Amino acid sequence: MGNFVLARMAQSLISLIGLVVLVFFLVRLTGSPADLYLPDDASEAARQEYIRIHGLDRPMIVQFWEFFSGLFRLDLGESLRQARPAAQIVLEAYPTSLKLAGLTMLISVIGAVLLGVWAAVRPTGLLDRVISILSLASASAPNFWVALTLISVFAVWLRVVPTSGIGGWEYWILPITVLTLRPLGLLAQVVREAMIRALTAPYVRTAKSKGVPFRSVLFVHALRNASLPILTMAGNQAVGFINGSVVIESIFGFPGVGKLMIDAIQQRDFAVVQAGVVITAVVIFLMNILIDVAYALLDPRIRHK
Amino acid sequence: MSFAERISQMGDRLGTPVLAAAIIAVSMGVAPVAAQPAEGEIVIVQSSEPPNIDPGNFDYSQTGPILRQNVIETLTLLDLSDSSLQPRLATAWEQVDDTTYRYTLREGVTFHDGAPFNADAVVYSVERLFNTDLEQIARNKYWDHMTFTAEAIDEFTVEFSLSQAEPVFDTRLSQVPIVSPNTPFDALTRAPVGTGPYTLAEWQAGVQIVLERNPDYWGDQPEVERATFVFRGEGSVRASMVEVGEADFTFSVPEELATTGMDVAYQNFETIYFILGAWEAPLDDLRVRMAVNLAIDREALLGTILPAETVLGTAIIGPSISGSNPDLVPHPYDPDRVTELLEEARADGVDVDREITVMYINDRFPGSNELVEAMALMLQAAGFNARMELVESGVYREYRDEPRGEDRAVILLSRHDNDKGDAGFSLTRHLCDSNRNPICLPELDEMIQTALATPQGPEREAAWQEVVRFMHEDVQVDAVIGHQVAFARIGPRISYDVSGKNPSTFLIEEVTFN
Amino acid sequence: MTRHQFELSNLNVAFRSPAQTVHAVRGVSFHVDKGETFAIVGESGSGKTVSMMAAMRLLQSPPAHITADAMRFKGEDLQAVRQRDWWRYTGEKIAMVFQDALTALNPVYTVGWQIGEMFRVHRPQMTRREIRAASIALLTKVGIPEPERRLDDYPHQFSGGMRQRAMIAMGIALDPEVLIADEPTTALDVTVQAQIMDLLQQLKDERQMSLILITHDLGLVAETADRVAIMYAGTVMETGTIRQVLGTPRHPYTLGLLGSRPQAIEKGDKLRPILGSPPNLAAASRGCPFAPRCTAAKPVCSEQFPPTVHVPSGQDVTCHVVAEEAGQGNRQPEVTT
Repeated sequence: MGNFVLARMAQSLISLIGLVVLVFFLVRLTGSPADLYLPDDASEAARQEYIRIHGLDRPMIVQFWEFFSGLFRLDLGESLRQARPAAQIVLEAYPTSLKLAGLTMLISVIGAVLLGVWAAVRPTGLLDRVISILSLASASAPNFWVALTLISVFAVWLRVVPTSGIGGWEYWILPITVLTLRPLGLLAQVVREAMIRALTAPYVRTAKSKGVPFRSVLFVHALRNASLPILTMAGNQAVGFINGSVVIESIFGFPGVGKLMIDAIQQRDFAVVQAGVVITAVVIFLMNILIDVAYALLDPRIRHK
Repeated sequence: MSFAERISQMGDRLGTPVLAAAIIAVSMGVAPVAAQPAEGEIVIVQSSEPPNIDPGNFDYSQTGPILRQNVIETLTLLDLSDSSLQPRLATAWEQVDDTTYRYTLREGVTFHDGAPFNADAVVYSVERLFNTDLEQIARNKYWDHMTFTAEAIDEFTVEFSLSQAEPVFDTRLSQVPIVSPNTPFDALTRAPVGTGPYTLAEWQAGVQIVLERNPDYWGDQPEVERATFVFRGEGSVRASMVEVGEADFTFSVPEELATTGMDVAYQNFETIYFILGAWEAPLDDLRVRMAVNLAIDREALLGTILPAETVLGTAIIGPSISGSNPDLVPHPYDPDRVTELLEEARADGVDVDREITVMYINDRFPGSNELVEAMALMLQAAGFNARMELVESGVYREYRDEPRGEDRAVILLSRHDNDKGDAGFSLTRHLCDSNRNPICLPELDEMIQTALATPQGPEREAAWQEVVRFMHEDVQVDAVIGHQVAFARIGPRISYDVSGKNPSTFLIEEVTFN
Repeated sequence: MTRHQFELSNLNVAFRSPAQTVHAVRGVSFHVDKGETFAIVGESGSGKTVSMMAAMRLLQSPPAHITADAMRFKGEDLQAVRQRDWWRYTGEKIAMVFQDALTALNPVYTVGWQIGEMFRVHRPQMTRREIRAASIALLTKVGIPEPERRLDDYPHQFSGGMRQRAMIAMGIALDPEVLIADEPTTALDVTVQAQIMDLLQQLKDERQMSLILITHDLGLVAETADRVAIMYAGTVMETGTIRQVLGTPRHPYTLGLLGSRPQAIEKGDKLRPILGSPPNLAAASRGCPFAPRCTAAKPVCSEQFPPTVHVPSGQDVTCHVVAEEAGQGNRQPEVTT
């Protein structure tokens, strides 16, 4: 497994370098940050001063070299807007996003397994159909709309949860509910399919003939075999969440990395965008390794290959 | 036995009903309602978090409400309701000659970090402001045309020497932050230290900024002990927070939600106008520009595209700004006269049928895209060959500023903010040597030069009023629409008067509890 | 009434879907006694596996619709056992060994875990250590070398024969009184087949089990079974002792199977296909399912379900032709469909 990780790292390093070069030039194609930072009617002198202070007047190749060599010193540059290290800003935002993503995925996976298994026990039954419709609806409802609706119902009308903000556990209820819907819906479908397939497998018949309780047949015998496609889908969703949910973080005022990145892109805060991309790439790389390890743990046939 | 087996057996023992009951109990359980602000505390919800809170950037729209006069004070306080200056850290001031001003400082004031407030502190603040290696809006917004130095005459007297005469120096100086001498000179600070009634207690990045009452404040102790600023991008969420009592105040609620008794409309000192591209035919002809102005049905825009509270304007400065002319009336809607004017111009060989592009940047302000659409339609209806075009800010600037790009006839949607109390801050753009001037008229240039050189007082005001009249009637390079309003929502716990203040100031000291 | 170890009487299984009803098993009856090997022989699709799955409650219902006059274990009415108590029978008293152990064993759990599960489900008082010891003993019993080490292997790390041995170890773990072996040697090569069958025979003798052997291998049946049932299209055509059925076959279908084989049946001999193809079980035929392919068929064969008659040589034959010869042509059919 050590060799495997090393090979993956070498592979990822090459893509990471490509990504970094791409991002460096792409963000600069969007225009000058001075246009966005300075007031609309700022004088040309003020613009020039801003450009000089932030070194944006130097040749592109010099700026790139500074950024690129900084990478190897783990220096990702300084935020134009906040005047502090970009890496620090990104890393400050990460725990909130990871927590949000982690809780969301945990709840989605548990919920999806319960719903999907329930539906798979009697495929095409009434319950199966109800669950299918619900999961389809929840996977396709726009987050933005759901979030505002839930706020007006539960925070403003019923007043059982806070509207927004960050604090005790009650502040996490609405954002996580909104974020959970989509992966829950998608995952429930995947769980259903995988379980239906697993439940027709001969080893399930064997387990039943052994007198294994039905609950164990479902959750111990079939689910473990159905877990690979579930893990694939959950992994995809989780990787998507690493960059946070911009909409949810903005609406609920969660200091996560998604909101940070969008703000940084809109404000052309180059260093923060770059730091965000680099750090996210590393996190996604680690996530993928975790997922690969999980595959191997779940299926011995992969382990022994 | 595997974990899954164990759980599964547990489930067998407990049975589905128990599990279901537990889930329902958790989800229906008594979720505590959000924390309401404590006694003596207020919560202000802003639309976004300031990227930095260096005193040099206290003019920034997100930073201002937090720092300005609450944490960081100025020598004088500009009262926007009548453009007058009130004493703050200075008790008296006088002009010594054209380029020299002398300020007498308040005694017995200390900074939050214990440093004494004195002439040296003012000198340090001015020197830091002019450190051009430090990006500061307070400098490049007010002092990009000149500099000045400060000198301590004695402990509580400062003399300012200007690089050139500036009749509104006092007004400009009211925008200079006075910072503790311990403030880093070469770096932006995240821990601003001033003399104000509140000290910065905490900045939890992405979450909140908390101010606490300064027990050693030189002035009266305000009622509010603690003020927390939080940030929500979504207008309806801000409105909801005040509605349910999680917050006490927000500067901006979407117009369509501003229907409760808690909502107050206020002038935000932003004026909406169109720049008429007088550098190109046919807009280089005064009759054509007049026709554009008369083709706009301004009344019809109110209550439809713009809030009904919007005040139709005659100049890009609001009615409370010194120099605005109360005798003028907005251009009426007169399609017949438009036809006449265009025919006259056509008869003189003006290419009135040339395509005119109404250019705009996406979503400059609420309703801006719709306003451009309405403008294009009204121009077409009046007989112009008009179309609209969405552009990126860089392209927009290529048309607005000299040297200008392609030869095209353009009308640019623009918005101007004047919260500095003097028309000079707004109209210098029309000087012949400005690169933003749509047209160079020697007569206008001279009038503006004269007004700029006139000392503050009735004479200066009259000079600006004349400039404004001339532009409104005889130049018409701006098609002014109106002075914007915004809607604040004020919770029932507090009282606060939003009028007469610009939205980048929130004077916590004026907040009282009901 | 004699008390058989296991007994099925008039078992019917139909798979119902909105489109059609497939009569997979029609009127199957047989029994097996203590220490006896009973073989059910038939082509694939003849209903031999479905019959046993129905008896073991392994069919999903719906779509399966199961009826029987009786299903008994040592005289006890199995149909009366509530589903929640079924685990006391299956695996414990009646165990199954399936064909193709690669898919019948769960690929993601170790062999030891899967054998141990028998004890964890049925013998909750046993400790981990005891379970491990018992599992090692079982692997030793079925002839797997280095059982301590192989216990922690996964099925895919075993060879085909070893997997089948492991499967058998699981089946006999709790000393069942009836062991149902569904094509236990199908996927294996000939030498391994023999070893596995020897093992099953040996275990059966040692433990006085009843063995129900489901197979399509006539040679295997001839060599190992005491009694046999020949199934065709969901129906038992002929049943009796090996000597009766294979020595003096009466049913045209059995004759067809054996007809081209005058010499002694040998190990590995498979059922020979007969001209034509098995009937579509969805089309409910009133008559004998074999009639369309039967060379001796009479008009009545395609109109009435044939009666089962006890012929002088000792076996039971379900056939109009045989019944007429025996003078019992008017007997009412035992089965209504």
